[in-house]
Amino acid sequence: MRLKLSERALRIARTALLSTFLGLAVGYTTFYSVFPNVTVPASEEPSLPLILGVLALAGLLAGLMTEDLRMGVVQGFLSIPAGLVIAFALAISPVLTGFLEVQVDDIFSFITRLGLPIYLFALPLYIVTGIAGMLLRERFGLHSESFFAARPNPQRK
Amino acid sequence: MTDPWHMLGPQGKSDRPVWLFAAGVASVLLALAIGSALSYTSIVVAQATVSISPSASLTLQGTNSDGTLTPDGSLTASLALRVDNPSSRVLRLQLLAFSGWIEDGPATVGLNESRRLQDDRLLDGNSTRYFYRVFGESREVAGAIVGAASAAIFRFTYTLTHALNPNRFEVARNITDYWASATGNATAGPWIHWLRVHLVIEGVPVASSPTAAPHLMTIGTIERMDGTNLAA
Repeated sequence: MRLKLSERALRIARTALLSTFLGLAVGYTTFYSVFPNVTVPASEEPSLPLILGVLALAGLLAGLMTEDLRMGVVQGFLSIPAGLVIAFALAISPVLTGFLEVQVDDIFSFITRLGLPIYLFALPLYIVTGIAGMLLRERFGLHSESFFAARPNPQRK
Repeated sequence: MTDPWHMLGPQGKSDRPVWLFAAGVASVLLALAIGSALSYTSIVVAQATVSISPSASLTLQGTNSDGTLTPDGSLTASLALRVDNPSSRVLRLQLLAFSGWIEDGPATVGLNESRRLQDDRLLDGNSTRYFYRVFGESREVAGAIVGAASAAIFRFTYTLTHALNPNRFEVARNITDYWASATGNATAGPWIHWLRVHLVIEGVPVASSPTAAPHLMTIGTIERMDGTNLAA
């Protein structure tokens, strides 16, 4: 019983960590797509290959570390609100200096509205690249031995 | 039978290298996000804190003994523009628009009715004051840099002569003659100036596409105005 609870906690922690990782990619690419000329790297307009590359790499890596499809899908869904929060945090970062002249709710709506294409695009991309990552994980027979290791699912080989 | 999909057998190998690589990617993403936030913050701070303090003075060259302008004289406005930049961004002065008006004494007292219709007006309580625009020019500025956390002073001169603009020069002469006769000083007439400055924040690419979002075209520039624009 104690072991099961511990395993469940570890699964939740692992999912939360991977969701945050995916959310970081969503948040950064959202901010980059809204303000490409103030981000690092700066460009005149958002670069689609850069956005695709960051999201696909994050999705693939998360897939390589995900042990079942269900958790992969859950991580994909959780990454969207996490990404929204990170993009919003980046957009209101000047508040720390006391110089932000725009209302916070305006910025939230700005980030939500202009970032919508990224949110809509990231979810299916994360699921597809996540599955690809899981297939690679199976292909190379990777398994977790760290404290994040979850008990192997008996239904999976 | 061995599953061909498993290259390394049922034991496989640890995914620790993948976690380490992901940690590296996460660190890079975090560094990019923090760098972006710092860059964005510095731009917002620059837009909020940069200030200008101009001072303009008027001089007449080629004058008669009573101080009035001769037909081959000139009228020069000297503008000293101080730009204070407390931010960490380097700025570049890109565009300067300057206008200078002198109070049209003859029009105000009714000596020149036709110019009253052309002059710019300033409502002063219940009365109307008439001003004639002697200078009105905008120019691109090259090589004017304001360093981070510093101030810079730029000097500009605007000259009006008969050769440059005969009509405007003759009106200016008429007005300065009026002030010389009324007060004993040709430059004693009240002046109003207005200027608009465009500063570019270095390192912020400006969107060149006509379909780009408006905020991408304006976020890298700072606009400051000073004085009263009677032409507006």
